[in-house]
Amino acid sequence: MPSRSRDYDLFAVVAVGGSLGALVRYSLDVLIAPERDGWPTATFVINLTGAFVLGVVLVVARVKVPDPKASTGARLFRPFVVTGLLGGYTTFSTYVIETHTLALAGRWILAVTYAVGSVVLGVVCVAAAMFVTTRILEPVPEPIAVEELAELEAEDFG
Amino acid sequence: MTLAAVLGVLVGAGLGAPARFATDRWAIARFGPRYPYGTFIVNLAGSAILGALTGAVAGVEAGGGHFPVFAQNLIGTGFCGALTTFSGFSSQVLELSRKPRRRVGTAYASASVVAGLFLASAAFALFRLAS
Repeated sequence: MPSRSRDYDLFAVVAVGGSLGALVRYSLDVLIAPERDGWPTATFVINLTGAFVLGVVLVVARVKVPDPKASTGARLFRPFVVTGLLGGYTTFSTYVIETHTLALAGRWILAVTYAVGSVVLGVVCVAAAMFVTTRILEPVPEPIAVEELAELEAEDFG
Repeated sequence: MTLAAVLGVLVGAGLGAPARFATDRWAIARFGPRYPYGTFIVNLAGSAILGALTGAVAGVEAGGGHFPVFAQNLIGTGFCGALTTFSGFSSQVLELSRKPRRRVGTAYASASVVAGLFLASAAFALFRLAS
């Protein structure tokens, strides 16, 4: 097994990013009050916006920072932004507890809607963000000449 | 939004996020990168811990006591909030659902939520009784 560096710098940016992301989440928790019926608006908004931003970042990373070893910035980008900021900003535990609280209060329909809705919309947000960001960042491929196409086809079946 | 609360969030998250990162790296080294075992583990652990905290707070307050705000923010909003991730979870469900066998994504999502709820409610009940 090759010896591995300790990666202290990665852990450091994860910690800093995580703290900042959590602080933003806490601020929104304070600012956004739950609905009168108990719907956990703050966490719902936080988790879905976080999922959307992750979709954007994943595409940006693939296009702009394809090689994590290329530079220090490239190496620290995903740990800081994805693992740190977005991981600290979004939360699965609070989502679970809020579902539990709704169920305890007898609000079963709200609980199921919140639980299922968060998961489904979370996936939709990531997918939509990736779709839109790809369209923006990656140019439409140029039409290729007939001769080039024939050459490519020969390679495939050769 | 007191200083104590903010400090609790910062310190707790400063521990929780690296714990998630370390668990991810360990899981990939142990099981390979194909399935998100690391995220699954931390999401369940965080749900259990937050369930315990919420139960303890409920128990203490039911008895007329007061659970320190700093501790709630340190352990709950900070540590559990940063230990767990919903964005990573969502992208993993999407990724696992892309393959021809959509069922893996659904299974992962269902298992995470159901197991998370089970652990959280068990921990809540236990710690509320004990507080």
